[in-house]
Amino acid sequence: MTLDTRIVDAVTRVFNVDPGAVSADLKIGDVSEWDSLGQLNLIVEIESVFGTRFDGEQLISLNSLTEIQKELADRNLLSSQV
Amino acid sequence: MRVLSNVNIAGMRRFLEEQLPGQHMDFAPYDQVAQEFLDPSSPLNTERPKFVLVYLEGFRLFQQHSGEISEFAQAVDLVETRLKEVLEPIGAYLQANPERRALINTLAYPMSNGCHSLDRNTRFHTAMIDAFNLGLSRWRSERRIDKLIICDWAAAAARLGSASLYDERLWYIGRIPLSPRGQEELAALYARSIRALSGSSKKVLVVDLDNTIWGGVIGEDKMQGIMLGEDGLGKVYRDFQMQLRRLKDRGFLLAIASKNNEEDVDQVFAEHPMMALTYDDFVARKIGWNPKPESIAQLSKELALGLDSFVFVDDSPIERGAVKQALPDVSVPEFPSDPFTLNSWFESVTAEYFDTLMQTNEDKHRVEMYKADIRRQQESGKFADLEDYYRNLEMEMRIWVNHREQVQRIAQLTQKTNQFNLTTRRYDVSDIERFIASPNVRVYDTELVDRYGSNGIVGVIIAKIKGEAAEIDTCLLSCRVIGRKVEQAFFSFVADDLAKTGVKEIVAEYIPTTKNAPAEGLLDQLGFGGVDGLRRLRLSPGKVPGGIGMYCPDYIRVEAKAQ
Repeated sequence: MTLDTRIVDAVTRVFNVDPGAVSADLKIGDVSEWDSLGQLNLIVEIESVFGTRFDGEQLISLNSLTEIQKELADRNLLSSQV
Repeated sequence: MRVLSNVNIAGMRRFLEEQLPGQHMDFAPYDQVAQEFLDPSSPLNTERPKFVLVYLEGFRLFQQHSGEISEFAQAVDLVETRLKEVLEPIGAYLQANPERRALINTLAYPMSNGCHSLDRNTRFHTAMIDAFNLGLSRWRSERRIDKLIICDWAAAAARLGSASLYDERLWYIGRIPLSPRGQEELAALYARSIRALSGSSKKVLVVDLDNTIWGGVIGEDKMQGIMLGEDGLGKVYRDFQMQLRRLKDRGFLLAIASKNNEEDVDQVFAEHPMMALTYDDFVARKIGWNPKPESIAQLSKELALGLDSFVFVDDSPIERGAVKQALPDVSVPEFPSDPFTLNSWFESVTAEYFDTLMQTNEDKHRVEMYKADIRRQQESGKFADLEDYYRNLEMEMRIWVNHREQVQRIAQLTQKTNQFNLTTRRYDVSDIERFIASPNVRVYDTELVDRYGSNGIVGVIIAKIKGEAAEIDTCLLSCRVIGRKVEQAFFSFVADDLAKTGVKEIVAEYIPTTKNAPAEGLLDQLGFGGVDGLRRLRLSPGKVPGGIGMYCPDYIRVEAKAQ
C-alpha cells in the first residue's frame, strides 16, 4: 500500500521527521514524537487536511497510518486510487 | 522561558518554537502554577527563565464552585479570591526576580457554560470571566506589577471564534482544552508580546499609494476617479489611512515609496477632501520612477535605521517581490487580494510588526524629530569639516540625575536601543524607579537640543556606586544622535558628577550583541584601560577646577538640571 502524500506531509509536519522515514506501517510509538499527545496532534491535523472530523473514540484508536488511510478511504476522501 | 498552565498545553511547543526560533522553552507539569512560583526549589526559581508564560483556562479556574454561585456578591468574592491566588505569587516572584517577565492571558468565555441563556441574569459565569479580566488590569495597575504582561486571549478568541480554538474531545481525552489551531493562535499571541518586550518591533512602515492608500491609479483615474470617501470601498481606504495615522501617533514612522508623477500626488494630498493623511504625517517620501528597493535603501540611510526595522506595504506582487529579493531584511507582508478586507488585514500586520507595550511623549513627536534629522543631514553636506558642522548645530545638552518625571522614557530607551548600547540591559519602569530610589545608584538622562529643535531624551547612563568605584550598568544613546560627540559630553558630565560624590574609579564593560557594534569603541574613546571584560578608568581630580578633566567638546553646551 502506498500512502497518500497528504498523509505523509501531515506526519512530517506534526512530528518534524524526514518524509523518507514515513512508511505505511508507521504506528504510535515508532517515532518518539508519536506518543499519546502526538497521536492527538496528528489526528487533528489529518482532520484539517482532509476536511473531516472523527469521533472522540477514533482520536485514540486510529493510531497507525494504515488505519488512518483506511478510514479516510472509507470516507471517500482519498483521490481515486492509492 | 517556562510555560505554566492549569491545563495541558504542551502541544503549543511546536508553535512557540516556530514563532520564537532559538528560544529555549520548557513546560511545567500542568496544574502547578502557584506551586512553581512559591516553591523555592521549583525550576522556575532554580533555573533562570527570562520569560514565564502563564496560561489559565477560565472554566478550570471557576468550575469547582460553579454550582454554588447564586448571588452576585458570591461571584464577586470568588473572582477576588482567584485573582489573589493567581496574582499574589506572580507579583512576589517578579519583585524578587526583577530581570524576569511574566505573561498572562485574559480568560476566554467557557466552551459550554457561557451559552446558558440565563447566565448573565442568575449564574454569572460569563460575568465572572469579565470581572477576572478586568481584575487583571486593575491589579497590574494598582500594584504596579509592570513586569506582568497581560495578553488579550479573550479578544483573540472573540475575533477568531472560540469554536475553532477549543476542542471538547481533546479536553476529555488529554486535558487539552485548545485545538491545534487554538494552540497556534495562543503561541502567536504570546510571541508578539515577547517580541515587543525584546525591542524587536519594527520602526518604519513604507507604503505605496495607488491601490494601497486609495483605490485606483491617480495617473489614470485623476482626482475625481480615485476611490476615497465615506462609502463602500472609498471608506475602506479612508479607514486604512486613519489606521496609518494612529500608527504614526503611536510613535512609528510612515514613509512613501511610490511610482507616480509627483505633481499628481501633490494634488491629492493638497486638495482631495477625503484624505485622512497629510504630507506632515510622513517622515519622508520617495515619489518618482526609481526602483522601490533603491528608494527604501535611501530611506534607511537618511533615517539611520537598519533595513530590518522596515516594513513595506504594496498591492503589487511585482514590487513586493523586487523588494523581498533585493532587500531580504525588509519585512514584506502579503497584501489582501480583496481590498474590502484591507483593514482587518492591517490590524494583523500591526499586531505582528508594530506591537508596543507603552507610549511616551517622544513617540508622539517622533516624526518631527526624524524630519529634523533629515534636514540636519542635508545641511551637513555644506560644511568643510565635521567640527564646523557640529558648531553650526548649536547643541545643548540638558542632563538630569534621577529624573522621576521621565522614568517611562528612560525605561523605553533601555528596551529599544540596540545599536549604541554598551550592555543592552532591558529595564522597565519599576526597575528605573528602584534605581532612582536606591542611594547607591545614579540614573542620568539627557535631552539634546539644537538649532533644529529638541531631539527629546536621547541618552541614559546608570551608574552603581560601590564605595570608591562606580560601575556603569547601562550607557546608551539613541542612534539618531550618534556621531556628534554627544557621548563624550554626556560621559564627561557623568564622570564629573560621580567624582563629586567621592568616586575614584569607573568600571565598565562592553557586552557585544549582534547589533551593538557602534558602541564597541566607546570605552577606548573615553580612555578606559584594559582591553576585554571589565575595564577601568581612574578619575584624577584637579586637571580642571571642579572637574576631572575629561575631554568635553566645546561646541556642546552642557546644562545640569536640578533634581
